[in-house]
Amino acid sequence: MNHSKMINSEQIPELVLEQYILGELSQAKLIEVQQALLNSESLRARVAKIRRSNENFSLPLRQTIDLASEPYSTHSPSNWENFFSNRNISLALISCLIVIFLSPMLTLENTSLHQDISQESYDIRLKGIQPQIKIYRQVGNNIDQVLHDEMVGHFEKIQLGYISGGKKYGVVFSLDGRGEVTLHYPEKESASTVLDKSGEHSLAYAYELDDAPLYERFFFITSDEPISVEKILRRGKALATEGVEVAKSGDLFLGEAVDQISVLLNKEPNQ
Amino acid sequence: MFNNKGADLNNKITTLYEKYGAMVNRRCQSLLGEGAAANDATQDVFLAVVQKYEQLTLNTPSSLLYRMATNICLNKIRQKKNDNKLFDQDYEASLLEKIASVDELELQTIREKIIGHIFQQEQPSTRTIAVMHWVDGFSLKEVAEEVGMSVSGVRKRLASLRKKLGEMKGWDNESF
Repeated sequence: MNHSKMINSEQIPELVLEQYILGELSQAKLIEVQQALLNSESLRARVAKIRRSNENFSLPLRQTIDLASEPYSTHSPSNWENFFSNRNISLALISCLIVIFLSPMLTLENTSLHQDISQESYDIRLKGIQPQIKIYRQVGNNIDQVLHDEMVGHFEKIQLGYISGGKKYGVVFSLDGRGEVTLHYPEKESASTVLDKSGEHSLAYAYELDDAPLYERFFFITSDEPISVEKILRRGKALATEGVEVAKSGDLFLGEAVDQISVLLNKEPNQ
Repeated sequence: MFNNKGADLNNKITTLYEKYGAMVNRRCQSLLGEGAAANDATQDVFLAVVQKYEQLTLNTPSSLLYRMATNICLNKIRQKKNDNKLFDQDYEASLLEKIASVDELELQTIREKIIGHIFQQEQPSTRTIAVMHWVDGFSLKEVAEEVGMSVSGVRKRLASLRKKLGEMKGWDNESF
């Protein structure tokens, strides 16, 4: 099977790696990290990156003792200075001026274009193209879609697919009743998360459910900006530790520019 | 010039900075983006260490400094949440803003606060716990170990915060 269970090395938080380099890990944790380092190239790369960053760190320490004994003060520009040095505000002002001067022309000349674009947006919304995750299983000679909250059996083979809904990047992973996180798309953590935008896209390989109890929840995370697979998986794993109810229905905390949808499959009780 | 006590403290802070400054700076950059804001926050962490040095337990400074950096960055995010240029346009900015803008939960009992004060223990911020778990991906057990709380205590705080965040407009982006 092409879907590897997430190994511990990929779940090691940054602080633990910092503590590894600083020599502040407990013996047990140290052994765990050393073992993970032997098995994971990406983890070795993360450690090397921290070491390089340490070597290049050159920010001088402010005279903290002086500062601590006085009210904290740094150069503080006046309000107006602050106002105009804020690039956001300056850009916003310039943009406003441009809009004020040009808007009558744009309005007169591009009314029909505006209508066309609006119609197009309206059509897109009407068609309801939102990111979707699709799950299918074979029942006899038929391929049936498995819907949210349906029951599935252990070791049942399923096929995953997605509709990008116009989003550029995406990650598909699942969380099971043992708290295990499995990456389905991209196939490797280091691979591109760019989505296929042509309608419904099936993942390259079918996936066999294992004997994990209670549930299997599939997440489809999408964004117009590149997504860090490692971060997404780490947060999925963290969600699982909040207990079954949260893992089955709670959101991942990802920020507003990232969309998440999920489909929960309930596992048949063990015979 | 410092007196002896001041010089001694200065040496300790300098030593601490040499060893942990880069780590703290990386932590600040991970929350605020690379740039002046992260560098300021780094300085603020060590300033806070100077101000609280006598009360701090520095057996494993990395844990404490990491938490202090997280907390200071969240305060900065909270102060500047209307200034989009605090960050690069990173998709995580909105998440951190949400966590940062939630008022500290009144989950500690008065008794806990008094005991905490007596033993001069710094009570871990719920917001810091949330960032460690939801942003950094620490398990509940790992968070509990880092902040010196029980797993159930951490779970309780996160459950309340999750509920509170869920009530905030715009959180519910789940659909099927």
